[in-house]
Amino acid sequence: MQFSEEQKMLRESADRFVKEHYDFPARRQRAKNEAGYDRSLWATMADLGWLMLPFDEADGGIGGGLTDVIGLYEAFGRGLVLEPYWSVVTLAGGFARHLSNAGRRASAIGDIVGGERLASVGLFEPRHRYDLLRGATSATALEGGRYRLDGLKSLALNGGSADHLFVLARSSGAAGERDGLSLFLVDARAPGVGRQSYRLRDDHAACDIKLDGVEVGPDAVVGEPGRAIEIIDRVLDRARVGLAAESLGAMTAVLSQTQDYVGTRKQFGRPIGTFQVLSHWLTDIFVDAEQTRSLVYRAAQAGDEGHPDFARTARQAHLQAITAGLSATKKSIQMHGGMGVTEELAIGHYYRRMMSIGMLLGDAHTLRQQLG
Amino acid sequence: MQNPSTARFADRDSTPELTAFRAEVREFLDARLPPNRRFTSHTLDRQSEATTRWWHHTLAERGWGAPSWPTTHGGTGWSVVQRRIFEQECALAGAPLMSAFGVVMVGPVIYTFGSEAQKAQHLPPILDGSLLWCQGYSEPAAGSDLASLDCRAARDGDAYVVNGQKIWTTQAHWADWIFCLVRTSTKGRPQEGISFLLIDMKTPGIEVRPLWSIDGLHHLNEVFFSDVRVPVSNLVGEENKGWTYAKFLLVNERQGIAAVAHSQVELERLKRYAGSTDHFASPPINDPYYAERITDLENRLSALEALEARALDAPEGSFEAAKLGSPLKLLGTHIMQDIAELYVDMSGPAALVAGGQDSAYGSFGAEVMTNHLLGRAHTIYGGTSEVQKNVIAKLMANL
Repeated sequence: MQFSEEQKMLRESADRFVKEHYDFPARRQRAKNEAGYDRSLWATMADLGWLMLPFDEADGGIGGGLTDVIGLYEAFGRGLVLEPYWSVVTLAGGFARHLSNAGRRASAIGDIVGGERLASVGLFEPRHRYDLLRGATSATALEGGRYRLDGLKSLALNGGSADHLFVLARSSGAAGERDGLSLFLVDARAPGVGRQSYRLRDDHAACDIKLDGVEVGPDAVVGEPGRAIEIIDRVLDRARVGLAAESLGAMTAVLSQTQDYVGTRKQFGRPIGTFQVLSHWLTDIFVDAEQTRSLVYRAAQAGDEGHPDFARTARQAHLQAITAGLSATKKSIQMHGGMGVTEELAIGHYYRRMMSIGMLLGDAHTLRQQLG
Repeated sequence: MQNPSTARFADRDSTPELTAFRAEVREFLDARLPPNRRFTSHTLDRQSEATTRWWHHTLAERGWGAPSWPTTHGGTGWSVVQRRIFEQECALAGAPLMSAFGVVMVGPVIYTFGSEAQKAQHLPPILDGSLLWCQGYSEPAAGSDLASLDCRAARDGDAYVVNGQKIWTTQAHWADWIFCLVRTSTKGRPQEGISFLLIDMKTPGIEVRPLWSIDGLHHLNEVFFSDVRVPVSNLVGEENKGWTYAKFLLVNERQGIAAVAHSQVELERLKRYAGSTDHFASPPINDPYYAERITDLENRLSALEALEARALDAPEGSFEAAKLGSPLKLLGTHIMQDIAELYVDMSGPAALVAGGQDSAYGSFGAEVMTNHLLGRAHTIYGGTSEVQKNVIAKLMANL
């Protein structure tokens, strides 16, 4: 795939951002940030035009596509960036686009693009793993197109810092049915909304959203009531490409660092990288990374070109990124010996991020089932 | 009431004597192990130094402080099967882990190669748990290539003066004593200049610094030696013969690491977790994919159990024990990792939540992840899997 001049500039800018703000010591410091992200870096991202990148020009964006945004994701992967770009811009931003009320839509997108406010998405529930169809959170229809929301959504990234919450609830039909799911935009400070924040192993911030008789109007509905699943599938498939690109970036960093290590670390009188087992593991990582790159770029292009096979391609890319990413980081830990299991080494941090990439939207097994 | 897991193991006890033995062990555990001292492998961070010492005392009171030792040195004289039953029941009850450094590693070295004075001084406190040990082997520049170690012990009158650094020293922050491989000569091959020294951790000049691991916990340390004076009487066996004693110890260490009984209990627990409707609306056990992974692990563990039986039957220090020790470590550690990883896969996003926080996911997922992250070290410590294969290759050349 050939990147345009603009895309190259964007990729270089992302690279510089990581070099300037996210060397590993800086990353370790940033992980201690209580909010889970740095407001001034988020403002920097806004200034760099990254927050507006994927939105249509009519919405205040610049109409960027997947082939543009993967440049950011690869850099985020390399740097283990903590700012919640994926959650706010790709996920929440993706849903905001489908708000049926024009006014709310404009203000939600405007808030995201402006960088002053964050949005978060609550799709999952604790006992249901990756299953979106069987959640217990309910949306009871009230008069005048209003709804009352009751239940709990988990793993809402950066939810504790968000003003806007997109939550999934069943408004009709039975558990397990694709029909009947609705997605609502809820004000984080609305009566009945409770949030319990926590950190993930990859140092990202997340929260559980408790909904206790939360009332919302018809303007809060994303798309049409009962038909959210189609929008969710589309938004998540684009989000998968982002995660896959992030995994790719992380893999290339891990490969480079591990290659350096085994090239200098000597045991038995020679660099350990000269032992064939380790040398072959490095080539395994290289091959896996190139395969991942191929699928990520293909999926990005398919998305931008509106290819009918995009969903499949996106899931293949995510699946490849998960398996290759986990394999690469595990091998790297092993190659680093005792150092590999210490906090001081970046590899363990990359490994924990890879596990998140493999569990935020479904794991390798569920992806294989979907693709089968 | 017997928990279902116990029945699964008890069914295989082939004689009334073994059934009675299992009951005896369980009775002891029921009587002596209070709820707040019971753990699973997933709550290791709660096993404190105090609990470890307490457990050794408690076992010692029953005469079970070192089951694997010869009876002449205070061992129990149990058969291989009895030892496995004991380990299973301890694992089922969530008993604390024993500190292996004294009982499994340095104790046998002392009773095999040590002086009478060393046996008298050190075996009883290992047996009754009043002293804890740690292992001073690896150095920053000597990991897999342990023989290249460079921590120096220079003879000065009736003492050795020790200077250098050890790393990856588990529980050095708890230990009363450390057994160290030190360099006493630079002549000849590196292996020919190594000695085995017992050092009191309270000796002036020793500094312990913590290392944090990727599970978020503190197990490992660096230990620095600056002009540490160690009595010559703390040298085990002969000077410059330490590598022989180290190799003897490594075989015991490898057998211990395989932890067959522990993995058997882990797997039983995992099966219950897989079927739990407390944790899952749709229990993973109903998915053929997970059911098959579980069956696969059961079969591998069954094979490992058979291998372990042969290894434990072999005389300590024999070629047979060495021949089977590395395969045991190799296979056992991969099984442990695969069980831990299966737990994580089944837990899903619950395993992403960092420990000690309030989330609707609860704490089990965090415990599962801690165990998994810590477990990445199983294929690294005690000789990496790659080193084990090299050891096996060398042994194969001698067959």
